Amino acid sequence: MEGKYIRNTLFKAMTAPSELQLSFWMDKAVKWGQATTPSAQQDMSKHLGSLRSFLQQLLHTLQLTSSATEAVKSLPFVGQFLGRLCWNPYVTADGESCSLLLQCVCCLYSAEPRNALEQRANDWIRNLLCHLTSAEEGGVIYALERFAGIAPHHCSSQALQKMVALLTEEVSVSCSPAVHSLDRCLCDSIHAVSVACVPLITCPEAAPLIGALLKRRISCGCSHLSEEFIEAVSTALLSKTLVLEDMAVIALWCHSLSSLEGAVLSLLESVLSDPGAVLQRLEEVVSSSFLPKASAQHCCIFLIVNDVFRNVLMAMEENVAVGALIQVFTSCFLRSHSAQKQQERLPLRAFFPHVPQNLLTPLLTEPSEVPRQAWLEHVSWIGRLLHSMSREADQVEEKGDSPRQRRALFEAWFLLAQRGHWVDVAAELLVSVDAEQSEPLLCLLTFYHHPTDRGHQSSQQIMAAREAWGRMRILFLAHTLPPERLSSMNKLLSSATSANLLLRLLLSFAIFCPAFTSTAVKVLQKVLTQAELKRRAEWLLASAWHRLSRGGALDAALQDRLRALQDSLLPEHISRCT
Amino acid sequence: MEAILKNLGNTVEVLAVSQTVFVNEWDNQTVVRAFQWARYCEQVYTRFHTTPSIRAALETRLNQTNERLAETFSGYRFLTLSDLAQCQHRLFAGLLRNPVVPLSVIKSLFDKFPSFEDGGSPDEQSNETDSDLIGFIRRRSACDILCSLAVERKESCGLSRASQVQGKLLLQRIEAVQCRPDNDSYARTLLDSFLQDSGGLGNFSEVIAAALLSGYREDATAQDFLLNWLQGHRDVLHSMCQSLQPALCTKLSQQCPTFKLIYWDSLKKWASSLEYNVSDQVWVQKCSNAVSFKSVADRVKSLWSSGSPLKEEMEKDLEVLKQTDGDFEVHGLSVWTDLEELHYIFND
Repeated sequence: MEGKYIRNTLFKAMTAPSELQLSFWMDKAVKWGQATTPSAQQDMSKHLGSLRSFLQQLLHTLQLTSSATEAVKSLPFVGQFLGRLCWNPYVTADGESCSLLLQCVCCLYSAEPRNALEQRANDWIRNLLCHLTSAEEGGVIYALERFAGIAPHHCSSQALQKMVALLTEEVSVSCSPAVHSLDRCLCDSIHAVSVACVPLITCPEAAPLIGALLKRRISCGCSHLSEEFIEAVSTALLSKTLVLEDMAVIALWCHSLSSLEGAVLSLLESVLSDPGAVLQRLEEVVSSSFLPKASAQHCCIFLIVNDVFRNVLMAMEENVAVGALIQVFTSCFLRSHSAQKQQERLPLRAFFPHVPQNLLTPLLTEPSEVPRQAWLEHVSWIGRLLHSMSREADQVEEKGDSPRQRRALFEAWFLLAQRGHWVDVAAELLVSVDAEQSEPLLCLLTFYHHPTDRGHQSSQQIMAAREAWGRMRILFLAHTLPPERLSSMNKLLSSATSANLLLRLLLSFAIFCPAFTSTAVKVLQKVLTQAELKRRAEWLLASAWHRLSRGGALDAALQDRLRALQDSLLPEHISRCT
Repeated sequence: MEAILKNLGNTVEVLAVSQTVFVNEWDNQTVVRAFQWARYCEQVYTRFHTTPSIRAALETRLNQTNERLAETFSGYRFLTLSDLAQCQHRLFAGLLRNPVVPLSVIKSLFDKFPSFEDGGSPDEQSNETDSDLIGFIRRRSACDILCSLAVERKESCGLSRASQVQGKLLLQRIEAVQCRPDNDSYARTLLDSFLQDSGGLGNFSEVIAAALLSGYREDATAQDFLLNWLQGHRDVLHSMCQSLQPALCTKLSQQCPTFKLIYWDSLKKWASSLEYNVSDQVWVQKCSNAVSFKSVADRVKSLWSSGSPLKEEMEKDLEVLKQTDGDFEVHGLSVWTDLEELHYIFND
C-alpha cells in the first residue's frame, strides 16, 4: 500500500501544469508585482504553500524537457513567469520557493545554445542572477558593501540582523493607552508585520522578531496576528525548522488552540510510530517537546493537553505505549511544577479540577516519597477508595442517570492512568501478599483495566482476577510445572478479550516471585505463545526495567532476572519480524 | 610576507583575466582554483587590513599589479584594497557578466551554487552555514520586505529603516577599523571612498544622519569620529542641512552642537538672501533653486518646537538679528521680524 502512495505522489508531481494552473499563477504573479503593498503581501501569505507545490511541479516538468526551446514551446510564458517571481522579494525571501525558482531558471540554461531563443535565454538568465546577487553600482548599498570590508553575503546577514533588531524593538513596545495616548496604537501595524514575516519563518535571523510578535499577544489583547503566520510558525516549530524561546512558544500555544493540539499530536505520533525505540528515551522525548514545562506555567495548557490525552486513551485503551507516554508526561509535569518558585506556583488542585482531593493526594505522591513498608497501605487505601467510588456510582446509576458521578469516576480513572506506576506497584505487591491483603489491590487493578464495567460485570471481573491471581501464585511457587496448569493459563490469556490485566499480573509474578529464574522463564515461554501478547510483554518488561532503575531498585539479581525474561521472548519474535 | 604579496598579486591577475577574452580557455578546474585563490585573498584582507604596516605593503603591491594590468588590458578597472574583501563575489559576478566565458563553466557555477565559504568574517557565527547564494538572495529579499513596512515611531523622525540599519553598519565598521589607534587616516580614507561611491549626497546624508542619531552607547566613539570627519567636509554638512527633513535636522541639532551651528548658520544665510516682493507681499528667493521662505520658516518652526535649550537660543539669536536689522515691527522690512512673527503665531 505504501508503494502505491509513493507512486501516486510521483505521478502527481510529474504531470505538467495544466493551462488553468499556468494562467492562474501567471495572473497572480502579475497582480503581486513586487510585493510592496500590504494587500499583495496578504494574498501572497495565503498562497505561499500552494505556490511551492506548483513550483515543484514546474521544476519536475522542466527537468524532463530536453532543451530550453522545448520548454518554452510547451510552457509559453514560463520565462516571464519565473522572471516576475524573481523580482518579488516576498517569494525570494522564502528559502524553499527561492531554491525552486532558481532551479527552474537554471533548467532553461543551455550549455550549447542551438538557436537565437536559447542564446537570448542564456543572456537573460545571467543578467537575472547578476541582478539578484549584486547591489546596483552607484547606490548606497553598493557603497556600504564596499565600505564595510566584508563579503556581500556577510553584509546582508548583518543588515538583516539589525533590521530584525529594530523591528523587534518596535514590536516589543508595550501598548499602554495611558502612557502613549498620543501615539496611535501600534496594534494595527502588528498584523502587517506578521503577514510580512510569513516567508521569513524559517530564516534563523528572523527568530527574535517572530518571538516578539507572539509575546506581544500576551501583553496586548488587541494585537492581531495573521492566521497564516500562526499556522506557519506552528508547522515550523513541529518540524524543528524554527527555534523559539520558551515564552514565545507558550504565547503561541495560548493564542492558538490548533497549534497546541498539533504539538500534542506530534508527540503522540513520534511515540506511536516506533514505540520500541522510543521507550528508552521517552522522558527525553517528552521533555524536549516542552509541553510539560509549558503546562506547569499555564494551567490552561495542561488542561488542553490532558483533553487530547483523554480522547486518545479512550480510543486506544489497551495501547501500553500511550499509557506510558501519559505517565511520563505527568511525571515531567509534576517535576516542572515543583521546580517553580513558590509564589508563581498554582496549587495542584487547579490542574486536576474534577478529582476528589482525598484521591488526588495519595495518587500524586511519588512511590519514592513513600517508604517501601508503607506501600501496601498506601495502595490499598487507593484501591478501597476507588472501589467505594465505583460502588457509589453504581448506586446512583440504579436510581437514574448521573453524569456527575460518571464524570468523577472517569476522572479518577484518568488520574490513575496518569499515575500508572502505582498500578505497577499494586501488581508487584500482589506477588507477596495473602488473600485478605490482595482484595483492594485486585480492585485497583480491575478498575484500571476495566473502568467501564459497572455493577455485576465489575464484580465478575474482580472474581476472575482473583482466580487468575490464585492460579498464578500456585504456578510460580510450585516446584514442578504441571503442563495442564500451564496450558490452561495459556488458554486464559489467549481467550480473554482484554488480557492486559492478566498479562501485567503474570509478568509481575515472573519478575518478583522468589522462585528460580529458570522457573519464571519456563512459565513465560509456555504461557505466552501468541505474538501480540509477546510484543506487549516486551514493552511491559522494558517499562518495568525503566521504572525500577529510576526508583533505584534495580539490583544485580533483578537485572539478571529481567534480562533472562526479555531474552526468553526474543528468538521467535525476531523470526516474526523477518 | 613576500609569499603572501605574491599570491595577492596573482589572484588580482586571475580576477582581471576572468573579465577578459582570455577566460574562454578556462575549464571547471580552473574556476575551482580561482575561487580558492579568491577565498585566500579575502582571508588575507580580513587578517591584515587593520595593521597599518602590512596594509601599506598590500596596497603597494596592489597598486603595482593594477598598473601592470592596466598596461596589458585596456579598460582595466583598478582594484582597491576594500575590493579584496569581496574577491569571491567579484569573481562570480565577473564570470556571469563576461560574455566570453565558456557556457559549461557558467553551468558549473549554477550547479554548485557555490558556497562562498567564510573567508573569515569579523564576527564568525556558528549559524553562518547559510552562506550560499540562496541564503544571500533570501536575506536581501527579507531586508526588502521588512524595509517596506511602514515606520510608525515618532522617534525615528522620518528616517527609513534602511537608513537606520545602514547607519549602524557604518558605525560598526568605523569601530572595527579604530580598534587600533593608528588607523585614523585609514578610517578617513574609507569614509571618503564611501562618500564617492554613494552616487549623490542625498542618500549619503540620510545614512550619516542615522549614524549620528543612533542611540546606543557603544556607538559613541565612532559617532565622535564621524563628526570629526564631517567637520572636514562642509559640503556634506551643508547638503544635510538642505536635503534632510526639518524634524531630522532639529534632532541632529539637539544631539550635535557642531551640526547645530552649521545648520543655524545655513538658515541665517538662506534667510538673509531672501528678498521681499512688495506686490505679492511675500519673501522670495533670488534664484529658483535657492531655499524658499516657507522652507526656512518650517525649519525654524521645527527648531522652536523642540523645546529648551534650542528654543531659547533661537529666540535670543532672532531677537539680536531683528535688532541689528532695525528692530522693525512692520511686516516686509526685515526677514527676521517676519520669522519672529511666525513664532508668536505659532505660540498662540
